[in-house]
Amino acid sequence: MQVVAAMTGPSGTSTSGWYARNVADETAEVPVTDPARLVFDEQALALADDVWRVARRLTRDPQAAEDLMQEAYTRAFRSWKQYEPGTNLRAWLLRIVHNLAIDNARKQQRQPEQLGLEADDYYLYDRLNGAAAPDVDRLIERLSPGPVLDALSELSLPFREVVVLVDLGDLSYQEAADVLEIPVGTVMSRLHRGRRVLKKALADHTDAEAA
Amino acid sequence: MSTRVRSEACLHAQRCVQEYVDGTLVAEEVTVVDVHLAECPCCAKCYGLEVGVRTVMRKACDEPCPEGLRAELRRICDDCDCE
Ligand SMILES: [Zn+2]
Repeated sequence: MQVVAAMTGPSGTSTSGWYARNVADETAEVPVTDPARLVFDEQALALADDVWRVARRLTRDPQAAEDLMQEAYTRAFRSWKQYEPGTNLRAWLLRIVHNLAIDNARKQQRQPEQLGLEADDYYLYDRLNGAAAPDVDRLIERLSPGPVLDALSELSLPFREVVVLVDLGDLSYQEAADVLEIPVGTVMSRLHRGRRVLKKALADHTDAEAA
Repeated sequence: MSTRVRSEACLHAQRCVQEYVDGTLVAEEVTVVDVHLAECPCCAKCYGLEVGVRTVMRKACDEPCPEGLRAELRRICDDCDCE
């Protein structure tokens, strides 16, 4: 649907961005963008930090993340009409990011090993039960994020995605389930197993520091 | 490493840690867990770690979208001629 400019007022009504570049001849009837599209654009661009946080951790390096962001936003602007106003736009954008990340992973055919995913559920419990159990608050305060980020990047994509979408993308279990098209129970169990690996990395790092 | 016998209360608390920290645990269960955490340092530490790992990750990942990329996204938006 195309809205025709009803007001091509005196020169200088609008001087920047898309509008200015498209108003070449103000005497003619000028097609302008659907106002809903402008709203969508601004909202989507305002979420760039949030989407970046997720895209960055779904990829191995910053350049791949930038490529993913550009692909995702290109697709988002092209299919903006499929977005239903009033619903969670962040979740909508993250679904696009997820789909592209999956496509890229398939192309690369590279599945990293699932380090530590089979660890005992009570590993940490048993460990923290020891006499030399670390003071967690103190530990967190002075902890360098390196080990946790390394562990995160080593998680295989299905687990990493859930952790990233929930913990960094602030999606609820249900929203993450919708994005990934998996049951909520699967989101919870992947989250549980993914975080367990990160916790183990954190605990291992503490031991190394304490030693 | 010696493994202390895991009490029923500990097992319960360990099963609830994720939902507790994510705020999706039902209220009655939260009360049960709170009581246990007050008297079990080990479970309290496990819960601390559960929160901690996310705090650390969150802090580490809290980098804004690079400015160059932000400008590029704006350009992609402006160039998109779809309606
Ligand atoms: Zn306990």
